[in-house]
Amino acid sequence: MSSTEVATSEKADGAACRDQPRDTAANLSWLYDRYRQDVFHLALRYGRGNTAWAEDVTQDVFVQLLRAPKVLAAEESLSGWFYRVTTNRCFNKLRHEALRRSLPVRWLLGAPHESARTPETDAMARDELSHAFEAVSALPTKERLAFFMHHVDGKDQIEIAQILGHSKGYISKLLKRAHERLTRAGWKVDHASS
Amino acid sequence: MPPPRHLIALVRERDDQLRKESPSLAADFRIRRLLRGAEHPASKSKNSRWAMFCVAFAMLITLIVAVPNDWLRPLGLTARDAGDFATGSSRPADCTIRSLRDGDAFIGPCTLQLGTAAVRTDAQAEVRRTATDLEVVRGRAWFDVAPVAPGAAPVRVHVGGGVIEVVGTRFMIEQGPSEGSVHLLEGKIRFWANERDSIEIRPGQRLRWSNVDSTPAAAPAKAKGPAPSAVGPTAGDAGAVAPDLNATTAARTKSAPVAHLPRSDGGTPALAIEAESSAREPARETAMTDQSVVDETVERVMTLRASGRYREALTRLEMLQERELDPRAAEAVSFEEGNILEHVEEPATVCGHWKGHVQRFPAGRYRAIVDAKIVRLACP
Repeated sequence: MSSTEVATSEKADGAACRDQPRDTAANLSWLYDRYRQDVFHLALRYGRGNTAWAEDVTQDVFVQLLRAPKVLAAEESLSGWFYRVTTNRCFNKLRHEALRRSLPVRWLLGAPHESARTPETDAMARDELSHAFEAVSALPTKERLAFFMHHVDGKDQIEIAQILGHSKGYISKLLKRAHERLTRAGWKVDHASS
Repeated sequence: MPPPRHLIALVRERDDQLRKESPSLAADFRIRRLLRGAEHPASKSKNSRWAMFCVAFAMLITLIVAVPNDWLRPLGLTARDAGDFATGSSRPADCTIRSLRDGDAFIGPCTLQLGTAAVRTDAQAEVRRTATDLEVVRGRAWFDVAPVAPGAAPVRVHVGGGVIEVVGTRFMIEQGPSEGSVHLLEGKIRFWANERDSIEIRPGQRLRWSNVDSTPAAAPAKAKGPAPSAVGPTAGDAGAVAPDLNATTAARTKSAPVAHLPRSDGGTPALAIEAESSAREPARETAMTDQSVVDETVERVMTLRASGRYREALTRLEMLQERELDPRAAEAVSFEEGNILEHVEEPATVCGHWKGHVQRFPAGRYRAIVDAKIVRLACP
């Protein structure tokens, strides 16, 4: 969801809500059809292109929608809700996976080493686009999310702070760190192009 | 050194590529089905409530059936304690167990193991068990109480006229609506008419009493016995069975010496002891020839024998032999007794038993086996 698309989507929400069915099941189906692609896209992005991972997140988000009936009746921006919930869901899932990949936990669970590489990521890493994407995806989780939200989705630092539940100063620090890491890796983080 | 690449533009381009991808058909179907599941949230909730109710009901039944009574009494519940029944004996189908607030009531023909007391009752009997004592409310009950360890509390059996204190013996209680009796077969028992007056009964003697609450003139004070903690309802309120005690007693007391225990209030004696010669008769009169009783006893004896409790098994068989048994049952009892005697008696005694058996049952079912035993023992 780019910044323009988000704006367009939020504008469309008002009109779309007028067509929103009143019946619960029909309403859910309508919401799924309308927001499935956006949710899946966000999940795919943060999941480094892992389709199965993104499908799990998509399912989790819509299950969460079942448990939040007020959202169904709300006239507020549904796209904002989906964006926030999907991002947070991805963040929690990534953090959980990072914890499970940590050496002490793997030792306690007796789990074998899990590589972050998947067939999808291997296929993606063949061209320059994928190299760039992988470079951002290799950032620490919080920095990665902040980077995508700021530079790809066009969110300002205050919005990012609200969504991730941190202060604006902390988000600024995350973005600065991300830039430093990417620069050290040989990438030019061109603010003019964003 | 390669020139720096414009990262953000590349990432956006790649992100646009990802945007064109969609969830797989399988995932799409799975999520849609999940959302359709919310179509009837009320009915789903109703179903889960039903499932919870069924689970709770099953747990309650399990609790009542499986948990011992002592655990449930504080909750106002009682359960059938299968462990109370003698191991190896079967509870007759007509034996009814009713849970009371302070214990259990066993109604009808039952074979029970209540603590150290083995109890058998007839069809009209009702025996109750409280936390500490037993009570014969009505009908006939045969008791076989294992010897009580020194220092341990004796077994107390409440009857209409007082309390019988037992330290290990065999006896039969007969309780009617207005009077009752106890016939001592073996050992010694003490009958407490009230807190001060007691009488000791010897083997073969029979003690009769008038129920405390059915003969107020004879026994104005309610008998409590040495430990009145568990006195339950008396026979006067049961009143469904009336063994013909008066007739049999009247006939016997003409020829049998009778001893009376004076009541503490000096009123009409309500207790009478009959001597052995007359007391044995009613036991025969009331003997139960029911084959099922014989079968149960033999089954119990086999269990005792299997666990090496030969003397107890012999006692059981002797109790059974005091009844009028049909020849078939009598032969089975005699055969079983001989088998047990082989474990506890000298060969001469065993030989004597087997020879007596052959004489009593010359064409019996066990004749071939007994003959083989006589040969094996080299009986003279």
